[in-house]
Amino acid sequence: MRLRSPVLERAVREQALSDLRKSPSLWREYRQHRTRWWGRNRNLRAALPAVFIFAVLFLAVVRSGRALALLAVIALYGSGTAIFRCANYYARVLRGYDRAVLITLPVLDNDYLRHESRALLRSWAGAFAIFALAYGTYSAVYGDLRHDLAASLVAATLQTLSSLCLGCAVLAYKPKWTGVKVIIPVAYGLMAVCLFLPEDGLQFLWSAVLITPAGWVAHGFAGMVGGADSAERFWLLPAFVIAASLPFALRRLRSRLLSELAIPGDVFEAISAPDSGEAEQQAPSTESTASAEALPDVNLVLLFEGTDWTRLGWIERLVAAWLTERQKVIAEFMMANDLGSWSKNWRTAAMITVVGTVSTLAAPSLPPWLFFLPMVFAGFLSAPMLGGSWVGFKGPFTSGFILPAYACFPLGYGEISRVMLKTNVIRVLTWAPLALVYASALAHRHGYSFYYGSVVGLDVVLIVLALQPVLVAGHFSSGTNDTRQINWQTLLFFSGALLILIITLIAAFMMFIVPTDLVQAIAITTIFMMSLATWAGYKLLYERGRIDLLSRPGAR
Amino acid sequence: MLRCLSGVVTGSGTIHYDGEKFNRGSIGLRRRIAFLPDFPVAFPYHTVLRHIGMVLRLYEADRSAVEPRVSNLLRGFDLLPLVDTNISQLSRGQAYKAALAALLAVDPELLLLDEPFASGMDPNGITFLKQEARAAAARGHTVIYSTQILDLAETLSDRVLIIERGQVRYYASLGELQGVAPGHEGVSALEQLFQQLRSGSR
Repeated sequence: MRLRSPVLERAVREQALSDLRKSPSLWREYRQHRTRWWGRNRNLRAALPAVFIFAVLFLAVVRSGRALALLAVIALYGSGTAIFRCANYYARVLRGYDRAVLITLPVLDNDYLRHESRALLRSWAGAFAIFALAYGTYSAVYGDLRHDLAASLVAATLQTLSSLCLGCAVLAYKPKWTGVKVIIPVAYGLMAVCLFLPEDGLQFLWSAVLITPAGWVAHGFAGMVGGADSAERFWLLPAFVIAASLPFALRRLRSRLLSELAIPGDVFEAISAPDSGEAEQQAPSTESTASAEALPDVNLVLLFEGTDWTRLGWIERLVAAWLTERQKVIAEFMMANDLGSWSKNWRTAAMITVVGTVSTLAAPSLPPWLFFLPMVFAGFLSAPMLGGSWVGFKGPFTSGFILPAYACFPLGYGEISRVMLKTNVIRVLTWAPLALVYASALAHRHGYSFYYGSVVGLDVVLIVLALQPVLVAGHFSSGTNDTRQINWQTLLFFSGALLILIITLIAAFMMFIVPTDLVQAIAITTIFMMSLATWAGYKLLYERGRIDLLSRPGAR
Repeated sequence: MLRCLSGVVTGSGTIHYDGEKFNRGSIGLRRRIAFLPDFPVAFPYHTVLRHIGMVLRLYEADRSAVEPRVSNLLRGFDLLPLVDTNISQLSRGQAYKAALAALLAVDPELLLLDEPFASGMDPNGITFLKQEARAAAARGHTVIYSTQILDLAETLSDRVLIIERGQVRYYASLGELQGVAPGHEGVSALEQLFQQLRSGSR
C-alpha cells in the first residue's frame, strides 16, 4: 500500500491551478499563501547546512595531505551517521508527525512502517553517495581513480550496508541505550579533531576506529588502494559479514518497532507540546470533573504567592535582592519553570573550570585550542553569553506563526529588558571569577603571565557585560517579523545596526591590540553605547508597532 | 483584527481606546485588555492554579476581590479537580479553559477571544463562557470574539462585524441586521446576510 499518490496530486493541482488562473484575486491569494518548493522540502533544508560543514571539513582534511586522517574521518563519519540516521528514524516512527497523522487513518502499522522505511532507505542512499564521493576523492588524491574506482564503490557499498546494519542492530536491541547520545557527538567531534592531531595521535585514532564496522571498511579500503599494508584488506571480510546480516538486523528492528507501535503512546502530546517531554499521562478524563460540585472550595490562599526566592540558589537570591516585586513577577513569568537553574548551572560551570584549569596547567602536549573549549562551555553555561535563556519568549504555534508568550500579556519592552539586564549583570559578575581564573591558566600555558591572562579575562567579561542590551534586543527580535517587515523605519534601523556592528567590532579589536587603560576605557564605553543605542532603536520599533510580534517557525 | 486590537500586530491605521491612542508601549491601556489566541498561551509545566496566579499577578489584580471570583470560575469551568494538574497534562479544551479562567479572573474591560467556540471546550464550558460574557457585558465590559459559527454569533452578540479577506463587509447591531436580512426557515438572518455578501447581491 502506497501512502502517496503523486499522479493524483499532480492531476488535482493542475485542475486547481487552472481554476485559480481564471480569477485574478484567487490567483493572487494562492501566490501569497503557497509554500514554495524550498519551504516544502524540510529535510533538504535541514541537511544542506550539515552537508556544507562536512564538505568544508572534508576538504580541509584532503588539503592537510594526510591519507590516514582522511580515512579516519570517513570511518568516524560512518559510525556517527549510522547511529544518527537510525536514531532519527526510530524517533520519527514512534513519535513523528507522520505517526500522529496516520494513527487517525485506516492504515496498518505494517504499511506505515513500510512507508517510513522508504524514507530511511532514501536517507541511506544519500549516505552511500557521500561515502562514494569520499572514497573516490581518496582514490583520486592518493591512488589512481580509474584503477581504484571499483574498490571505491565496493568500499562505499560495504560502508553503507555495514553502517546501516550497525545502526539498526543498536536500536533493535538497545533502543534506550544512553551511549547513543554520546557516540554521535564524539564521532563527529573527532572528525574535527583529526585535523589537528599530531602524527602519533592520528595513528592511535586510526587504530581505534577499528572498534566499529565503519573502521573495518576504511582499513580494508586502505589495504586495497595502497594507503596501508595490503594485509589490511582482510578487514573487509568481517565488514562483508556484517553487511550480509543487514536483512536480519532490519527484520529485528522492524519487529521491535511493530511491538512498540502496538502500545498506545503519547504521540499527540509529544508533538503538540514539544517542550513538555514529561507529558506522560493522558489528559484527565472529564468524568473526573463531573464530581466538581461535590468538591470543597479550593484553597486560594497561595494564589498570589509567587516563587519563594529565598529558597532558591545563591545567584537567584542575589538577583531577587535587586529586583522589585513587580520585576520578580516578570522574571518568574519569563523564566517559568527554569527559575532556579542559574545557581545549578554556575556550580557545573565551576566544576568544569576547575577541571579545565588543572588540565590546562598540567596536561602534556595537546592542540592549544582544545583548552579553550572548557572555558567556552563553562561561559555559556553560567553566563548569559547570548542574553540567557528566557522561556517567555517562546509561545504557541498559531495560524502559521509563533506568538511569543509575553506578547499576550501587559508586559512592556522596557520592564522585561530591565529584568533581563539586572539578572544578566549579576550572572556575568558571578561568572567573572571563573573567567579570570581560567584565562590566567590559559595565558600561562601559552607563555604569558597570569596577570596578563587575568586582564584579558577581565576584558572578555566587560565585553559580555557591555553587549547585554543588544543581546536583550536580540531576544525580542527572535519573536518578531522584523526582517520581513520592510518599511523605512526597519530599513533605517538595520542600516544603523550595521554601522553600529562595525563600530563595535573595531572597538573590540582595539581593546585587545592597544591594551592601554585609556584605549580600553574608550573602547568598552563605545561598545556599551553602541549596544545601548541598538537596544533603544529596537525599543522605538517595538513600541511604535513597526514590527509584528509573530515569527515564522523556521525564522527562529 | 483581534491581534491588532491586542497590540500583537499592527496595521496601517490607528487604534484608540477611550480616546487615547493605543500602541504596544501603552502598558496602562494594555492592562485593561486581555487577549486569548486560539491556542492558549500557558507554560506546560505550570499547574492550572499557578497559571491563574501568574496571570493575576501580571495584571496586578486586586487580591481581595479576586479570590471568590477565581473559585467561581474554577467551579464553572469544571476545573476544580485539575487545579494542581500541569497544563501539559490537560486536553486542549481543558488548557483553553484554564487560560480563559485566568483572563476572566482578571475581569478586563475588554476581552478579546480568538475562536473560543472552536477551542475544544466541552458543552458546559461553552455555556459557562456565554454566561460570563453576558455578565461582563452587563457590567459594562466588552467582549469581542471571532467565530465561524453564525448561529452562535447571532444568539450571543449585540453587534456583528463581518470581515472577508481583511475587508469590513458589514458592521451593525442585531436589530439592524433583522432589517436587512430577516432570515427564513432553517436559515438565520446572519447566514442569509453572509450568503448575500458572498454572492455579491449586497
